[in-house]
Amino acid sequence: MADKKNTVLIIEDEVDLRHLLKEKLESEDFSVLEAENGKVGLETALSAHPDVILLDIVMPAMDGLSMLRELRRDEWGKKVVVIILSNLNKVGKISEGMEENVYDYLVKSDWEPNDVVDLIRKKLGIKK
Amino acid sequence: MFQEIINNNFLLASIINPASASIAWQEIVINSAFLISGFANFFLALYVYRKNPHESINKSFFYFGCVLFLWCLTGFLSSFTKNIFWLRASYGAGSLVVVSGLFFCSTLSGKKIKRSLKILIIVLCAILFYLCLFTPFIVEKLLSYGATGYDAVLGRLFFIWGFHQIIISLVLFYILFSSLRHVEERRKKQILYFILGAVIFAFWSLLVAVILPFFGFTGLSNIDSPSTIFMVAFTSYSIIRYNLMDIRSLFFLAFIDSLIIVAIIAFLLLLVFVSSFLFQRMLMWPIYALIVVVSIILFFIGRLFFIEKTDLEEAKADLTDALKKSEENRIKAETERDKTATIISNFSDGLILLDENDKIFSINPRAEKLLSLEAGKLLNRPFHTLADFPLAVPIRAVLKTGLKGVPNQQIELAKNFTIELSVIPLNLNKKDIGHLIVLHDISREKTVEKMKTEFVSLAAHQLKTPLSIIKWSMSMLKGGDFGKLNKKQTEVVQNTFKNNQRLIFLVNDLLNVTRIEEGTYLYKVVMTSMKEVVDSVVDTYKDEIKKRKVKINFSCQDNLPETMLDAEKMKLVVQNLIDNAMKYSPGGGTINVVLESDGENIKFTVQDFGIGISHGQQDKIFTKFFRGDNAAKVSATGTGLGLFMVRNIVEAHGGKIWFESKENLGTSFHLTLPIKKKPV
Repeated sequence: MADKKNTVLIIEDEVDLRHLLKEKLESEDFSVLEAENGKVGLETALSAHPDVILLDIVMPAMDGLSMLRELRRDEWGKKVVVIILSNLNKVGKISEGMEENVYDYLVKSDWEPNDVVDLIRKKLGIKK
Repeated sequence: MFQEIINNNFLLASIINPASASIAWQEIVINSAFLISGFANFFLALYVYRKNPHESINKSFFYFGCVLFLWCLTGFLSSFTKNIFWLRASYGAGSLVVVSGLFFCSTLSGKKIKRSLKILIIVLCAILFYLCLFTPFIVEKLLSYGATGYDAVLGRLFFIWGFHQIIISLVLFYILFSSLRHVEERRKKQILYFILGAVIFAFWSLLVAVILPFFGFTGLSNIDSPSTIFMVAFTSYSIIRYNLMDIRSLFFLAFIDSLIIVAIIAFLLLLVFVSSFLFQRMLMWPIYALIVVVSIILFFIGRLFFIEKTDLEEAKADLTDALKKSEENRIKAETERDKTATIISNFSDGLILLDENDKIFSINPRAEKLLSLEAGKLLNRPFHTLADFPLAVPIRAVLKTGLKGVPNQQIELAKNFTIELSVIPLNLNKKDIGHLIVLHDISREKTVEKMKTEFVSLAAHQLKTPLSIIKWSMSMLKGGDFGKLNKKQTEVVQNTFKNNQRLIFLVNDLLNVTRIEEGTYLYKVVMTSMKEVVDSVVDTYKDEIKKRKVKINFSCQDNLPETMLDAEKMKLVVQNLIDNAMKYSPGGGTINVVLESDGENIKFTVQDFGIGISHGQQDKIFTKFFRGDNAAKVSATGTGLGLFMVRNIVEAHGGKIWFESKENLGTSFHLTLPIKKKPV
């Protein structure tokens, strides 16, 4: 029996970025779910229960931090791994997010897709 | 003839033969009267002249007075010598009296006499004077001389002299009286008293010297000139009471007083002496001597007054000057004060002045407007009264601990309303004279700052999004995620990736620098281990290190203490320094990284053996956008913002940064950070 693939939910409003990440993650044997804003992301997360959530901050309809707050109210949501991917500096608003038990915070322009994959693997304890 | 002279000369006769001299005490009295009147007139005239030599009224009074003196003198000499020459002289002087009197009155009343008329009068008078003195046409013969008068045969032209006296006198009085109508009240009073004296004198003189002789009676004609004393008396009164000729002064009063006193004493002495028959014989000539002495005394007293007057005049002038200067200074001071008050009330910042007792001394309109104050309710009240006004409450709170010199404190009073508060202690000559509270409205600046920050954040974020997409695309492309690339394709993709990275760095740097400049670079300061910071950076750079073929020797002191740091920012600092060291060591080499501590500070050093910094450019190394010439040659990718940022971060932590460098030999950057423990 094939190992169940790990699921990653990408919540990101920037289409191109989302597709790149999806491409990368799928090539690395991850199952990928997408959401274009926080609202859709929250619904998807609570229904699909992914292993990892990649979360952008600046999004229409519901921004990343609001979504995170809502997510953490859920029993399952409290424990799921969330990695914030944003281009905002990690100050002020973002530090709020850090206090909500986020795994890590990556500045998109400082990191490459490989780094994201490595981080996910590290958290889930998967070897390459 | 000799005998005649002796007989005629009473004094001589009395000295030579006292027994035979007929003692006419009236003579003595009258002769004294001549002298006293004469000198009184003279001194009065002299005083008036000296008081104000440029004023025409004073000048003409002086001439008049001198003429009167002359007349009295001739009268005295005539009575004393009983000589017809002096009698004639006294008549001549008499004609001068009315003419000079006329001129004086015209000046006093302000009624000018035409120049041609003046000349005519003077010529006539001169002719008359000549006739009197040198011809028998006015006084022909002197028959006998008594005490009060004489018996004389008047000349054929005596009537001309008489008419001259009367007519000129009438004109004189006409001028005086008619002027009374036109002059101001004060002048009127002045003139009135003079007129009174003049009338009495004129009436008396004309009667005894002109009218009675006209009818053949010259018995009383000797006592005309002494009547000038009335004029002196009334003129003096007018001067004292109404400031006639504007010469009233304390000294004049004193002078007149002494004149009167001396005259009275002399007169009484005279009466005492002359009343006693026994004394008369012996003391006649001393009496005259006494008169002369008295006159001399008067003269010296007068001189004294004049001298003192001059001193007083000078003192008065000095005082007037001083007063004038003081007045000028007062006006100047008031002007300066008004200028300052205008500046304060028009000042664009709010100003609240507190006096040395912390009471509100003044509030300018801008302060009133800013804090919605009512100055009327606050002036002279203690400073804490400001708290009665809601907008001023936060200010009062800030200053509650005391009015120490507050340099610049930003206080948000309401939404979108921020002021910058400064308290300046005011000292004058090392004495505390109060405080100046300055309220500078920075709401606009704050709003602009906020907008700028928001814009910068937004711009950076917006810029970084497409840059991230490009970065990730290129990364995946060169990583072979979309298929293997040929050599050329790989090269192109790598170039694109590299340049895109440059853009990302630039955007980051610009964003950081803007934040530093605006003071919005937030520092989240926690207990951090510098070792961990350096370790993480070195770890991050391990690929780069391999690529550039450099060797990093990181030596860290054991048990390096932790300190309060903003780890994110310190990471940037370390990153920047190590990055520079690597960038400017082309062709590889060693980079020494040292962390140590002396208990008070943590010292961090990055040493490279690369291109170094040229001596001439070393002082600009930390300035924004500066790149050394040699650096630009080696690496095109520097922004010139890195070290600027590094210094700001280090200094914000209370630390210091410096370097040593020699061109082509390498550079060592050192920084120290004070060890701060977490506040308990």
